Amino acid sequence: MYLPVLSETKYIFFSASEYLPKMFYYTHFPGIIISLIMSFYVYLKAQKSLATKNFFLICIFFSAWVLSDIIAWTNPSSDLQMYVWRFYSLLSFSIVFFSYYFFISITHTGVNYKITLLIASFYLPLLYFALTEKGADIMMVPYAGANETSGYLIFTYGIELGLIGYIFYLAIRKIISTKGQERKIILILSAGLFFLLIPFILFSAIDSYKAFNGMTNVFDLEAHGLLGMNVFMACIAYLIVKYQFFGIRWKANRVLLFALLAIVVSQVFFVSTTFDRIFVAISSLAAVIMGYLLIKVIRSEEETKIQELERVNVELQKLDKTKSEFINIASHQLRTPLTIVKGVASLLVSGKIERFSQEDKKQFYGSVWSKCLKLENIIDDILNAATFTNKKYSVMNQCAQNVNVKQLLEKIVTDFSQEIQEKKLKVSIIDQTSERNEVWAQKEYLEEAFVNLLSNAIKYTPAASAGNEGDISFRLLSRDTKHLIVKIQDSGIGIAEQEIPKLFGRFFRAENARRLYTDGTGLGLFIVKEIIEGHGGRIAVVSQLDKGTTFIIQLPLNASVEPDIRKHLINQAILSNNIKQ
Amino acid sequence: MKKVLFIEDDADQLFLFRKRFDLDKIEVFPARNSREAFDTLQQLRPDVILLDILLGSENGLDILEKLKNDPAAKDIPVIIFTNYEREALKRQSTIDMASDFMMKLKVTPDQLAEKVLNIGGKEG
Repeated sequence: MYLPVLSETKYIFFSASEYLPKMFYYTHFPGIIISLIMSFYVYLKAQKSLATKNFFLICIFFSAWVLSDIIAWTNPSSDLQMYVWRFYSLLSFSIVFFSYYFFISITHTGVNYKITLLIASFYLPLLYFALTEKGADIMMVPYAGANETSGYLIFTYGIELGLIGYIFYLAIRKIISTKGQERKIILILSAGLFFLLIPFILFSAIDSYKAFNGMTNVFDLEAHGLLGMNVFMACIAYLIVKYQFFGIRWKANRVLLFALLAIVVSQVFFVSTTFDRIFVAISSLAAVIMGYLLIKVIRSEEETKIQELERVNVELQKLDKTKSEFINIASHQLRTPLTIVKGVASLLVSGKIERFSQEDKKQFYGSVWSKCLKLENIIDDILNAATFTNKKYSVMNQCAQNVNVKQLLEKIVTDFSQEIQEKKLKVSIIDQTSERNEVWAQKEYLEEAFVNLLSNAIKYTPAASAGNEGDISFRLLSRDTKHLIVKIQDSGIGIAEQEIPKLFGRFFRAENARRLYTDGTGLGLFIVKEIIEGHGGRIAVVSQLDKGTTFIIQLPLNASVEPDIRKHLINQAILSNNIKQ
Repeated sequence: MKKVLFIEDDADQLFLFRKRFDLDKIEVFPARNSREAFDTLQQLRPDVILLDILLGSENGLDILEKLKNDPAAKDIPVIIFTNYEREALKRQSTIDMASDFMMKLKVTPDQLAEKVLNIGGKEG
């Protein structure tokens, strides 16, 4: 057998002797570094499951084995060498045992405790060999240095190879019985374990056999077997990146960089001249810095994306909440008037209506009519709210005209005269403008806005009584030559300060308003705001609970454009035609 | 003659169902809030209580809890009568205290009258 001569090559920590396996540094150091980092990382970051604990233990026992091997090969103290030698089998069996446990903790829903206990029972003789002097006598050939007895070798390699065989028997059965993603995961996992265990134990067994027969003193093959750990780690890393194995989320770029760094940095151990060492150290440092910067850039890009996603998510959640609130309100509001319509209709259909007096019938029909109107309103509001964009209420010049706000308000107040009288309210229009108060507007929209405001003022102002005048006023003011100010002041229930910012939101209803009128849709003021802003105006509100509310509207005066009524009517016709089609 | 305590603040609905109950000689005692309801309960014992949920500033479910905690009233069957969907409401355990949950829109006045007539036997 050819023995490589590595005489007097100086590495970090020690010089190579001729007995040192050729690739010793390559095979031992990266494995120990990678497996320790991985195991601690997984242990700290992963969900604490049986699988992560077993993985951690595989790595720890592997590192311990490699460390023992480093000591055994390089330490000049033969006592220490002999001491660590006794633990080899205990450690290597532990790697196989926890690989088995790791595999079943991932692939099997339950652990077969009988079989596991049987396998674990092999620990007893191994502990006996490792820890007692009598055991050590059985293990080692007396006076022959680090040579094990044949019985010991057959026993230890026998149980290890047997257990590996059992793991792969389970793996093959599992691969056959699963499919899809689960099958892929088990396949990769089994491949990783295959590369970890087979070279490690089998090569070790072969070298031991050779050494036993005096064919070699260098455990070269065994040393190469340790490289399988890197393949195992690569498989686990792949599972983490691809399938969030262990519940860890990794980005492929970070894993790649980490692997690159491990390879580059480990070069320091494998070069023998000072110049090379400095060169490798500098290039490693450069790689570390570059990698750090790269990850930082990628991370900040990711963080920007994450922040954006979080913002969108918050928006969506708000929207979703509004939506479900709306559905709750809308479904109740739609059902309530329909209950009356359906109830009366059912009496008509069954003919029972004939058993009621004329007066009762009249009241039934009256309430059906008013509930139909109510439904119509609710449907309009809902459809408006569901379809609008901010442009919905903006002025289309072809549909706009000069609107005299004072006249418009007078008309609206007249329309509401019945409600105003019922509650004995006093509604006044005070014109304090010096010039004409015409605004360029789409009249039907502007009317809708003022109707909503007046109807709110009437609803939320208590009927006139001893302590309450029940005053509602519209005040027209001109602050400058370009704007008209309209103030609508009531002496109603007011709006709580904390609710004012939400007042113009879609589907918003103030707490006290909800108590007073249970059937509002929370769309009125939203529509008002849309209309006023669509006309280039602004709306603000001042309010005090139980004292009253004042809405202040500013609309741009625009008398320079003469209204073209004919054109307007033609356009209206075209528009309504489009809608009908 | 059956007696119904009808806790409801909507005049139109009250009128409709009440008139229909009249045809079957079901006596209706309306109450717009918990105060009126408990005042009525002091004077008589209805066969059934119809209970709306959205009652101005009051929540019908609070009234239900009060009724079920009142030794005199706790055995009177309560039918929740509302236009909310059962699943859309919170406090399901309170709702379970009621003997029935009916959505107003899903029953006609005839069906409601029949339901009331069948409570606790034909004649109460």
